[in-house]
Amino acid sequence: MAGIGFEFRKLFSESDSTLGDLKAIAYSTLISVGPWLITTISLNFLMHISREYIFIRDERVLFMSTVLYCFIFSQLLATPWQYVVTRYMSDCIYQKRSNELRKTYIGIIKVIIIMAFIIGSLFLRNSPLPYYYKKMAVILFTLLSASWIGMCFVNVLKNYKFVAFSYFIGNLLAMVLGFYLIKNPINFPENFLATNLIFAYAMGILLTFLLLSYYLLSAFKERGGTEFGFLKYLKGYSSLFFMGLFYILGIWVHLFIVWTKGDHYIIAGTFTASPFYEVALFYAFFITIPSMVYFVVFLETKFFPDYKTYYAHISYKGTLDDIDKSLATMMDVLKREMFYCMEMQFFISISFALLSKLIFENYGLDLYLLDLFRISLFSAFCAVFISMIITIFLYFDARIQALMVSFVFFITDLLFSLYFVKFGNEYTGLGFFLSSFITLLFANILLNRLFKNISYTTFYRQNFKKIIRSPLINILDKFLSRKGYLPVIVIILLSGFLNGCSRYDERGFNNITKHNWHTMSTYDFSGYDIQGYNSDGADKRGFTSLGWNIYTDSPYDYYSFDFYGRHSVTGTSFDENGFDASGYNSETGSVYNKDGFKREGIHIDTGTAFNKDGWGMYGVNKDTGEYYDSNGYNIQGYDREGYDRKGKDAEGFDREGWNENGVFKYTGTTVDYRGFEKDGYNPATKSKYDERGFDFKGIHNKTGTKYDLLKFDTEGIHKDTKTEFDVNGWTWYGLNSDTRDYYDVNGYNKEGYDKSGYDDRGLDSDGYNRSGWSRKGIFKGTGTRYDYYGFDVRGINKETGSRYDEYGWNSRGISKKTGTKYDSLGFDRNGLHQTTGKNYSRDGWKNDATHIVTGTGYDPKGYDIYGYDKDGYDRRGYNSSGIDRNGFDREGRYVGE
Amino acid sequence: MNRVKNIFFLMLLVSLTSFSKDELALEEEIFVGKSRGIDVLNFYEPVSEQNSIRHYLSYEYGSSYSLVEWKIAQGYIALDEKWDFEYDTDHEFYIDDDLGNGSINYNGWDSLMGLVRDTGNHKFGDKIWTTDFGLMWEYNQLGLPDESGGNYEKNEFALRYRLRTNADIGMGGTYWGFDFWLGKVFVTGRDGYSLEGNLLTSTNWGYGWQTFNTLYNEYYDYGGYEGTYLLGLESITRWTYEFNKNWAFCFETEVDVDKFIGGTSQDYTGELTLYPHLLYNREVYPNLRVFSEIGLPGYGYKKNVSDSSSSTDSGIYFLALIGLQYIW
Repeated sequence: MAGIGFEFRKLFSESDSTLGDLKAIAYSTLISVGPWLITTISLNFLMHISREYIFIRDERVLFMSTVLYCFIFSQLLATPWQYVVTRYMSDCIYQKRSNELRKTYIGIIKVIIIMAFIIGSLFLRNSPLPYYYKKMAVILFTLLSASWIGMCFVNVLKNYKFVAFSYFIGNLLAMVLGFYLIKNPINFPENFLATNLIFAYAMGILLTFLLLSYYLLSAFKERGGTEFGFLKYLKGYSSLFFMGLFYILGIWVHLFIVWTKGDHYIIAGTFTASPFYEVALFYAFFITIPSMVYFVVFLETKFFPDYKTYYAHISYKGTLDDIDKSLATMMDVLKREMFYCMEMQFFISISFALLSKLIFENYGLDLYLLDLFRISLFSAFCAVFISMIITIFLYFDARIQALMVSFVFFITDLLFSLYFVKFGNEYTGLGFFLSSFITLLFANILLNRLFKNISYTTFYRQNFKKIIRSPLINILDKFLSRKGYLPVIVIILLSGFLNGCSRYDERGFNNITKHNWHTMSTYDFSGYDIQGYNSDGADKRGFTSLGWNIYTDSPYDYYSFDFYGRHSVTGTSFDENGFDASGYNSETGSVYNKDGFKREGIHIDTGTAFNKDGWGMYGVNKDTGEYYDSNGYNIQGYDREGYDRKGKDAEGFDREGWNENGVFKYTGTTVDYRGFEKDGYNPATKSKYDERGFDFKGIHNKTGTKYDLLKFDTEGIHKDTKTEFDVNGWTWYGLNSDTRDYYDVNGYNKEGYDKSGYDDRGLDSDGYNRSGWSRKGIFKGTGTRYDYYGFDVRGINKETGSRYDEYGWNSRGISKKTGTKYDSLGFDRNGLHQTTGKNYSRDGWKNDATHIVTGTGYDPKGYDIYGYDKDGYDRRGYNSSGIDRNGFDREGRYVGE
Repeated sequence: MNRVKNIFFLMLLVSLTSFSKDELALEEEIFVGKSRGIDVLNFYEPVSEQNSIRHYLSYEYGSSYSLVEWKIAQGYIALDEKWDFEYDTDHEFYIDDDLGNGSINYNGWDSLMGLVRDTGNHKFGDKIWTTDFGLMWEYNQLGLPDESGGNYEKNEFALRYRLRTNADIGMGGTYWGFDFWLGKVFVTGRDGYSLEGNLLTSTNWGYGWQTFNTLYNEYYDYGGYEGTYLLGLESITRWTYEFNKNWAFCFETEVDVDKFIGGTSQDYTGELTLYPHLLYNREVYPNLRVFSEIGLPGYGYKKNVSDSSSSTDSGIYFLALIGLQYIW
């Protein structure tokens, strides 16, 4: 049989074109991970078409969980045996005992089938799934386990193509049959979709197994040896068995821990699933395909020739120099290619880790899954390279090193996963990553150490011949070879039959006969049948199957729950005390509430209606018969005002309303209504007093009493009237009792001023009259004896000493010229124009005869404020004397220039 | 003897008068019915039907014998809400290869029937006891060959009083009680009487395990027994597992030890039986079912010790049974 390495070398050496490269890569992928890819595709196809035609999600989930369990546990079962049998086969071939291979294959298949059948049957024994589904699941599990062994045998013969072909044909059958059965399902009473799918898939795997077996039995025509000779290797090569077991456990144990202690849910009362984590793991391992492919190609094309050269030198005619040189060459290739493989995979993994956020956001996937995926990427990276190093160890028969690595992998994975699962979902996957990372480092150290002494070790071992003697296994071999196992198989089949036919549930009921095998009748110990009804037709709550309660003769039970568990008062599944219809408390998850009372009011400790402190379920005190004890405290320890013995209420506020953090209960801030902090400081006034002069305790800083100068207290109550109004009808802040306004009926406020701020004498609070003058002749605006315009209270101008200022304005702003408030140009004394109200006229002239546009005494057309140009002519060309530039008057008479 | 027969006949008439009165009452009262049940694959199923008849044929084959039992009728008929008529009669054919040359056939009858009145629940101690009272007639005719004693016949008229109460042990359905028996025996040879006070227990241990014990205390004085006290223990333990609605597997062991004190040459007898078998049941119609037992090879051991002799017998045996039960 042509070696696969030869084909690889041929393909890659020919691949001088892109197409050739692609062909080589595709072929390598098919050879290396083909079965896995084919299986993935077919399962996804089945899931897809089932989703298209039948919308029962539970059924699809059940199918996938069953397949997942079958895959995982068949690997767990088969992997340890694969290593043992591979070694046995290799020895047979090396020792020219190839005639034993046929019986060896038959023997291991028998062992695996028996073990798988027992394990599968025991696992599903108490499952509530229909018996036909359980039978098919057990068959699928058994076939998968056997097919792993078959694949292992064909791989030893290096016919990877046939393995891929078998899986392709088997999965094709599964897809076709699955497609047909989804459209034309067999009418199983329960779980019909999942049962049809599992049946289709089992048939596909059966075909794969038969193809593999047919190939092997055709290849192994000689019938020598015994069927169970390989069992002897369990003694001599037990390290291989346990190495395989620990490695495969290391791969999955973290998932088992998540299943049992992490975020998970139960499917059909049988299977546990953590979908997020499982999906993350799947894709993480999926991304390691390149390195797996590369490793297989590397082993076959580059490593194996050097490996053979090295051992040829050792075994036959090589000198020490030859041996050292060939070792160095082999080591160089191994390290270089391993490093390259890691580098390539790391680049791929890190790329996916970075790109994954975009992908997840694009598809709207859960970010929790993103975290899981990212960490799983690197866990898978390490796990795959651990597997590669173990393979390298086995090439050099370094079984102890391989066992140590797999054991470290398993034990660290177990411990880390158990440790991190306690911290919640955020830490899921971290245990697996740490374990695989540490194990990879450990494996690398062992690999380096191995190669330091590899030549010496190899020579040394040649001095010993391994002879395995195992009387017990010999007896077992003889026993099994003499068909002595047949009764065992009959018992197993019988047990499977029993398991499939009927089962007794936890209450002791048989799901088929409805009999209870504890009481040996149709009722259980409590007098209820399998459907939960007693001989009166009532369930434990007194309801008949029609929803009528025979004890209360109403639609409600004693606890006011209806048949469906809905409470008549709350309208929910719980009563006012948090108990559901079954008497379970929502808060504690038990039949007792947090105070230790059952729904019926019986206390867990005393067995009476009162707890040891004398309180009943609803808080009635045994001694007082009230909700408060003799000290005035209720069951929660609060007095009638809601404060406990430390003076704190349920929210931690003291009687003054402050909590430990200095927050005031009623304002929700650090100051109370009056603006004081807990220590009496008023941040608004930055003193110990508020703006009214009261301190934290309500004592006024001026009076030293709890009243201010106006006899109002902090609450605004007047000392004399005992109301919020004083004797004059004013509140402390000036609201009038009659008008409910800040002014009384006469228009004066509490202080006696009108809305303009003047009292009944026309003076404001500073003693100035409405014109701004005080009695002493001081002007309010300037604080001097003169107003803004320089006039005193008598109207005499400070500068001119007369009643008019230098511009001709008097103290009331009357122009001397015009006798009005405006001068001849229309401006008042403040320079505001009569028409515009601004400091310029409609024509843009200011009161100083400058134009607002030109800033000069002429407008843009060259005329001044009076309408004359620089030459003294108006717009019609006349000067102020009515003569034009040529000396004519307005009547056209010449009067001279 | 006739006097005694007359006495029992009179008692029978009295009892008939008693249930006749109740029969009249039926016209005025609603007859609720007694609690009844049938045995299906060793499981008790309550039924509303008040009457039952079972009929079966069994064949047992051992190393030196074969036995055919024809259960002609076994069951009960409700006469009213208090009274039942119970009956159990069979005809047996026994062939013992070890006796003499060739086979010696025994063919005998074994019948027990009577009127049983439900005497209600009574509180004795802190237990509630269900009780019934019966006027019974037992008839045995062994049909022995002449050289072995001829056509031995026994008639026994008896008063039976039964008490049953529930027990807290086991997994439910467990009960225990007493059977008291006062009988006048008319037998070939010498008439006499029999007094019995038996303690019975029935325990369901859970997971298909059941134990039935009977401690016999009997004093009898008739025929060849002249004031004999019998102390016996019969203990049956069985485990049942249902395959499906029609088939079950049962492993049954039985220990039966009897000790005779006084009035007879017999000392003691002991018997051990290991009997694995398959049970079959199928409801043909709602009220009619067929049942069967198929014995996987069983094992029996017997020992019989008397003042002058001792014998043991052991070996594999097979048993098969098929029958019908009708309830209405």
